[in-house]
Amino acid sequence: MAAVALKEQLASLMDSMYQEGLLDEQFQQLQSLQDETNPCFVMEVVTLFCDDAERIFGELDKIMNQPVVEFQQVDAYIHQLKGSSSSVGAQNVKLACIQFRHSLEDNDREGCLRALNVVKREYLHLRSKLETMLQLEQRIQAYDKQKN
Amino acid sequence: MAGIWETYPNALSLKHKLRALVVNDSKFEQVLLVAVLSRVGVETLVADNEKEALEVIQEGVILDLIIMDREMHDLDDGIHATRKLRAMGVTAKIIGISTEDMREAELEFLNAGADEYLTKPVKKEKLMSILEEIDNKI
Repeated sequence: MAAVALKEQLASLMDSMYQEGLLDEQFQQLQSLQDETNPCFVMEVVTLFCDDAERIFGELDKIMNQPVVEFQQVDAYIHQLKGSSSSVGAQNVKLACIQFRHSLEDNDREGCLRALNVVKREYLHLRSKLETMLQLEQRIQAYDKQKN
Repeated sequence: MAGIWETYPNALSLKHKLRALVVNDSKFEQVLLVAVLSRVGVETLVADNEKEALEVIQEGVILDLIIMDREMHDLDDGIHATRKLRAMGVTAKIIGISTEDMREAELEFLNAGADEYLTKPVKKEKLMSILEEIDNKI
């Protein structure tokens, strides 16, 4: 019974993530690659995505704190984040990256900082939901193991 | 949860054992591409940069497909690496990938010797059809 409730909770969480635009159909492609031979695939991919995103944010913070901002470098990092967001299906993060790249056209530090904050906010919101999703998946897998 | 076999029923019908090389400095993207390719039995090698890709070729590995990322942290990008691989006589199908949905990016790759250009995210259905095409040509 508890496993059924957890599965319902997970399904409802996933629905809300798609509805909110946090995820798109690319994430479903990733989920389809997880099976008995690779039961932790989604967790592995999500962890790698988050590691990658946080490394990029670290680099961007360093660049933005320099007296003279190298906007080309900023663009290169945001470009990378846009690519990985797109590959994982993190739709809102990807859209925030696209907006960020538009704001770079003015080479304006304040504008960039605002745009960076939007990207970070979208990312942190997604990460929090993904963490909940992974916890639910782990609990469901643990129940299924007990049952077998 | 649908599996790749359900979403692409012909996936198991590759007649030949194919070998691919993923050139990408993002661990995250390597894992994604390897997962898709290995599901259909494609033996997949990974290179983090141009140097490693060239080493694979120098070791005499015969490849059917190379998936080359355009943006790498390395000094040399995927377009440069594609040009070098072709200059070395590599005949494998090279697919250039990038975040940019731009004709300019596509032309750069094609001019460097790539056979095809895909925008991220790489759809597994597209990848499957490319593999089938390679498989049918062998």
